Amino acid sequence: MQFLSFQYLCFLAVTAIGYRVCPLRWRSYLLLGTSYLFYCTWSPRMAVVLLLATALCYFTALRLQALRGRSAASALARAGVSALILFLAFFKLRPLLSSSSNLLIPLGVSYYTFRLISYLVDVYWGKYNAVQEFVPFAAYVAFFPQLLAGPIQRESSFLPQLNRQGAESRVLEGLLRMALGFAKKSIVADNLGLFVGWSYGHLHSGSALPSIVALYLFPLQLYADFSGLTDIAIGSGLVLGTEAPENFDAPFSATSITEFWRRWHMTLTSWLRDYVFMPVRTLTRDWGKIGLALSLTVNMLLIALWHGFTLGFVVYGLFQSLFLVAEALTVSQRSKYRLAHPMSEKVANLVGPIFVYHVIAVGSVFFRAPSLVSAGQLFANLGDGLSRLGSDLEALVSPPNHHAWIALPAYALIAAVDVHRRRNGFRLPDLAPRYLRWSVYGSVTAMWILIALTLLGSEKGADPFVYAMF
Amino acid sequence: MENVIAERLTQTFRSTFGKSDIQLSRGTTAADIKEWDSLMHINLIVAVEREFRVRFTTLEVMSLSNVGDLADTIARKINKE
Amino acid sequence: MRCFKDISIAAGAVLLVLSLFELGLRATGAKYESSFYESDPVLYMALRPEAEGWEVKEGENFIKINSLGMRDKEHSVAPTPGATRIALLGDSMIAGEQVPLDKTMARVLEALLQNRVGSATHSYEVLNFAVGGYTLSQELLTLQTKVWDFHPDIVLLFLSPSSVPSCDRRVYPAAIPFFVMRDGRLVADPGNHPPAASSAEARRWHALFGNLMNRVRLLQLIRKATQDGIPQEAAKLRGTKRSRNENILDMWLQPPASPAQENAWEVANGILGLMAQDARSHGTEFWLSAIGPEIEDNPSKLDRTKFLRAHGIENFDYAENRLRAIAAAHGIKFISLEGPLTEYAERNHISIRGFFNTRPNYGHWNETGNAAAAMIVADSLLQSRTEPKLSDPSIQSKVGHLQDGPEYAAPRPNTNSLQSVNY
Repeated sequence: MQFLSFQYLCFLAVTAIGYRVCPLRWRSYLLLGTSYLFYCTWSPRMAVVLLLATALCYFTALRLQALRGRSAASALARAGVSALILFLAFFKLRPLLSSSSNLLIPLGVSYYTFRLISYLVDVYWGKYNAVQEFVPFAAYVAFFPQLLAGPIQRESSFLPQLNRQGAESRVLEGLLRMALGFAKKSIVADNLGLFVGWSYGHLHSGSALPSIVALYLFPLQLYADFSGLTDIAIGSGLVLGTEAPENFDAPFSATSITEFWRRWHMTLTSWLRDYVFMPVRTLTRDWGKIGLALSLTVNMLLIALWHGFTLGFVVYGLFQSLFLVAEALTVSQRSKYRLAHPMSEKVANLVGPIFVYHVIAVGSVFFRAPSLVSAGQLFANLGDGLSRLGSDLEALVSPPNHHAWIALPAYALIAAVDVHRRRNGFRLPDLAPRYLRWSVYGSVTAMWILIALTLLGSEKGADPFVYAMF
Repeated sequence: MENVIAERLTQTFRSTFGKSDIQLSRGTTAADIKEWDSLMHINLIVAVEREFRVRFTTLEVMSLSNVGDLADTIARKINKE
Repeated sequence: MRCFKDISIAAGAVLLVLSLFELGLRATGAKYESSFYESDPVLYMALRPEAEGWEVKEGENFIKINSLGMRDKEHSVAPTPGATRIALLGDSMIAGEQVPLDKTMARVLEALLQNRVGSATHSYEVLNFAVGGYTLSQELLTLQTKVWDFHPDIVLLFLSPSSVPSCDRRVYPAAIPFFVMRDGRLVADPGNHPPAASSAEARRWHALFGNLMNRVRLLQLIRKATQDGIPQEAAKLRGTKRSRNENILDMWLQPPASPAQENAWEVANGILGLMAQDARSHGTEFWLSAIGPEIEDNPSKLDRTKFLRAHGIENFDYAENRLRAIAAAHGIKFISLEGPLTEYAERNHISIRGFFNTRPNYGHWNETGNAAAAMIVADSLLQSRTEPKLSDPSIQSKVGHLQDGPEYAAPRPNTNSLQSVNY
């Protein structure tokens, strides 16, 4: 079941109503049932795999808690985490190694494996106690809004919400958030994707335009795609009545690469910070600057490899690490400079985001290009000049791309709405007058009926989500 | 906290963070001090290890949830000698 | 009182949302199928005169129906002196709603004939009576009730794979007119349920609403969602896929496999015989041609061979051969279309079907297909008058570049989806 489908809307509506009317103690059963139903629309066999992995983890955690303080605990923890890592690696490597081309990576395997790993490690480190009941735990692991592409929520923030009752309804907020995500995906990301796709298909020498378009538009496409998916995931949770952590915080406003990675895919980077970077850095703490560089590089490489086991992603990771290490090693020098030269702060705030965007754009070429060769081709063609600009532009906007330009003004509008959401949220003011409340309810209802009709009326669905592939 | 440990610990924090006004209690966590991020945390651990001449295992470092835990772990390690 | 004010403000907000959505649909270029049809007591359905709207299933094209209910330029009923009138009958392949009017087979055919053999004193006029969705029965009825008023000199009928199957109600269950053979004569099927004749008033309202719908995207969206979307969702739940093509394809490729299918051929034979008789009594030349399924004119010989092998047959020719024999028996002139079309596509490595929003070699003829078909038909018409072939390279330049057009690029891989990233 795709997010952008009429089926999903019906499914979510039914689940939300069920969640609201069912007694508190049956809630986790409802979530478990609906999440596995959702998973089965992709693959019943893989749903069984998910259940088995969840069960194994559940029992291991209980055992780890019992063994706390004993030496056997560390052996068990190591075994459990290694098994999960191998499990994930197996599924990510299988399509690459096998000759049959239709082996897909199981839905959400990267996301749910990460939940299981962090849960085991948290119990081992004594940060939390093992969950006693299986059903809520399994519901947490398989929670369907976050299955396709996160956010990667920790069980300590998710599970207590299941027992909450009488919390204020966040359905309006959720519906608006979902609508924002739908707009980002179908109007911005898919249309930018048309341009980027055209560019990658036209990397011929003699013109720099395809390279320029691909280079500058892809980060926007990726952000619209992924943050749209996140909006739908978080919005779905709000409609149900659960809250999820944010994944993005205006990443393109970052003034350094380090800051960028604190604002992009935040649940993944914080996961890696807590479960990879900290342990590795602790192990290498005596190696001074080398230890720091090593930890940052390993961390970034894992972020890259999490997306896929290809040389392109490795280059992507190493490229980003260069900047992260350079920034980390010069932190004190740069802050001293800034204190001595106050103007430099203002300059950094202006130039920083531009610099960051270029670094991200260059790195993302390795993310998107089908091979290192075509990535190289893209960069080589940048120097080809714009002598064929006229005919290239004409080709760029000919069918099926002839409406795709709408992505850019739409993006500006959507970004404005997003800024409003970050500042004020999508909530009605507390003492809102009745006409305002009715107008908002009426408008949101009308909007969603129209969205449902649009989904019904579109023969093919939107392009599959990028991050649903991970 | 043992007064001796508390005193030296506070000193270590102050010199690592470069701020002379830091006050610690058992419940102090990273949320309470602005510059205390993951990178700083490791610097802190290294500084504490040097000051008290102890060695933490990775598990011990990861299990710390506040300054109180830190002080207890230090105390435990010192008293073993 | 306050309540009423609140409601009206809320209603205003909803109207605002509707208007913004309509604007958004326009800005993003979303288009939905328009309404072009009206019900007809004889033909069951006909094109609504003066209707206009977008065709978006294949290609993206703005269509206008003329005042006579034809997808063609305006024609006068009375013939022009000194002009040879050619009437075309057929279904969506000949109506050509996927390409602009001047690129349809009818217009290109007229231009070809005019350019090569037309003169100041002798011109050619092609009238396109084809309607998308028409079956052989409806084409017979069109001929009897409409075409003769225009006094054509030549009538050209194009059959497609669904033409013969649509002659039997069991093979092709649909709300269309059927004929049956009774004692060797063709009569209307007593089981026919023609729609009631509607008054001029009702037709006017229907036209008004249809035209309004064609102008307001929201209305088109609602229609699309309810007509197509809901049945599709229901079918998905049942796990079925809607496809009616099996019977049709089988009957094109193989001899009839059931009494119903055999009956379809009988009735088709009867209809063609009746049309030929009709043409003779009007002193009009009657020509027949047959358009095959998509796979037949696929430019890739490999794909065609794979298909034939998978279906266990030697060639695509069963239906065309049988139609040719029927034509010969009734004194109808026959144009072989598929052979030359396939050869044209293969020789030029070009897809004659498929558009930027469909997969290649799928659906209806694109501009190349329409032009190539026009060329072949013109050749046949003129050959019978011992004129030089229009496919002669020296004449190609007059005909213009048939290869230009947005849909002629090589089949493009789906590179706009990030799914193509090498994970």
